[in-house]
Amino acid sequence: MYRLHIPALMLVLSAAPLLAADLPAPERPPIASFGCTGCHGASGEGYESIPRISGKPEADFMQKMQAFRAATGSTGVMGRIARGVDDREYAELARYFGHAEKTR
Amino acid sequence: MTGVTRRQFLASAAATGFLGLAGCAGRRLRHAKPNANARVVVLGGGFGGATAAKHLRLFDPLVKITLIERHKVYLSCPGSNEAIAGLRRARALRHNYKELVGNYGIDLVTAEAIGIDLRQKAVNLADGPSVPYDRLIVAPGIDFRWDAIPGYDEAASEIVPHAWKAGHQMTVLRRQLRAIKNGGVVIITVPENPYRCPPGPYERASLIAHFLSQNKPRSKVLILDAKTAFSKQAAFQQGWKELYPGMIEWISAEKQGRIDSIEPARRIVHTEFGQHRAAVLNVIPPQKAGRLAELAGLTDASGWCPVNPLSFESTLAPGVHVIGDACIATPMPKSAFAANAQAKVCAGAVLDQLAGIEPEAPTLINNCYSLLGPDDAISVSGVYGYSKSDRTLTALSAGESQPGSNRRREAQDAHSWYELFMREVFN
Repeated sequence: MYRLHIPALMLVLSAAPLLAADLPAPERPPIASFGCTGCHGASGEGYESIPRISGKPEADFMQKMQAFRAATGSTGVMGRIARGVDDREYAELARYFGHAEKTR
Repeated sequence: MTGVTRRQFLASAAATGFLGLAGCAGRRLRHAKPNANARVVVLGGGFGGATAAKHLRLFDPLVKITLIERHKVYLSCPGSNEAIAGLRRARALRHNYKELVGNYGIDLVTAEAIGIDLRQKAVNLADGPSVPYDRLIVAPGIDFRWDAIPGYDEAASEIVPHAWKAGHQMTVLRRQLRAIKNGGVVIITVPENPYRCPPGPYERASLIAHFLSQNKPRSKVLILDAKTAFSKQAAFQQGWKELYPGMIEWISAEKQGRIDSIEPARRIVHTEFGQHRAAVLNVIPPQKAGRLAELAGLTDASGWCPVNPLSFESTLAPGVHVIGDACIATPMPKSAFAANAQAKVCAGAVLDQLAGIEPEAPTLINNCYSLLGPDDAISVSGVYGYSKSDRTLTALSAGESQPGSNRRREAQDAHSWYELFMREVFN
């Protein structure tokens, strides 16, 4: 069975921000995030009753979105939105907002 | 990796299928070279235009960005129904461009554009040299079809306000409401789709009813509608029953809600078989894309601007993109939220196209709150994807608040949203 070499992968990941600094343009946020920031703020910071979505563990973000999607009945705004976004996009959003810093 | 435990990393890595690591080959990582020579001009500084200008910079540190807007201060339409009903100070709707210019290196030109020279690729100004572009983003908002309702033209709107753009018109309507006699009838006429802010007329009816219930309790609100159904209808009507019993009457197009003509001086509305006399008459006229879009040949027979939803590039004028209320992005509604989402997709696509990269298929979201009263709100939301076969946007999910929803919670969210959204657009 194919085995992943986790420490090596983590090294690659942790080096990514350094590499990014040398790249010619900033990495673009995932396209699905353009809707999220319309409510949760430019860096997902939240305000009063609208929660912060940045800086959360990715697994928690994923679980939350999957729970919104699975909920039945009158689920409010997030239920409607979660049903229109797929797992791959959840993962991209979890990763992006998990590491998002203030944009201003 | 600071702050992320090994366990969390493993969980997320399993969930993502190592998408992050596969990033070099992934569809999301875009490294279009910063383009120091490219000039992108944004025409119109509303929610769409301001968002586009800001995100061009967030996505490219070097591209030259010019924002052309005739007003120094932008007046927000979201929140304007609250201002009309006396629930929000009109000053709170004002937003300026100082932070946008200072934080993102945007060249702001405060001037009236009078035309777009598609051949020379330049925007002509009423006063000052024309502004050349490599790509142009047009966000002209809406204009009114002054020829659509006999008797109702721009001059008539001084007596019979539309108040469908914030500012002076809003003040006129507010003043008339305050002066109404207890028992006087307020009539709101609503056009057919499409128009700016589909649930807006019904939010307005709700908040005017709130004002009347506090100040002129024998007065009523009559809605004459050119449609047979409306956004969030079930939740609106349930809320009206609970909050303002007997106060708001909605007359559908099937029941003679469609209007034939207006007598502004007498505030009389003529329908097919009858007439209604109002103490305050608010006519929301049929609409079309902002005048400049029409002048530049960006509109089709519908009066709106057809675009390719991958990039919001005009199908009528290559190199020119149209976003916000003016563009045809069906089934997305014409809302500030939609304009903001479209602007971000468009900004990315413009930079991709300047770099010779094919823009990726967008996922777009809309979410709009409507207030029924100071502490009651309902919402409508949708997610929209790109259909390759039809080359149009398609709704992936959509829904609205139903009777029995948590209106108090949604009112808190509506107020939080306003603060966050204005920062997201103008800071």
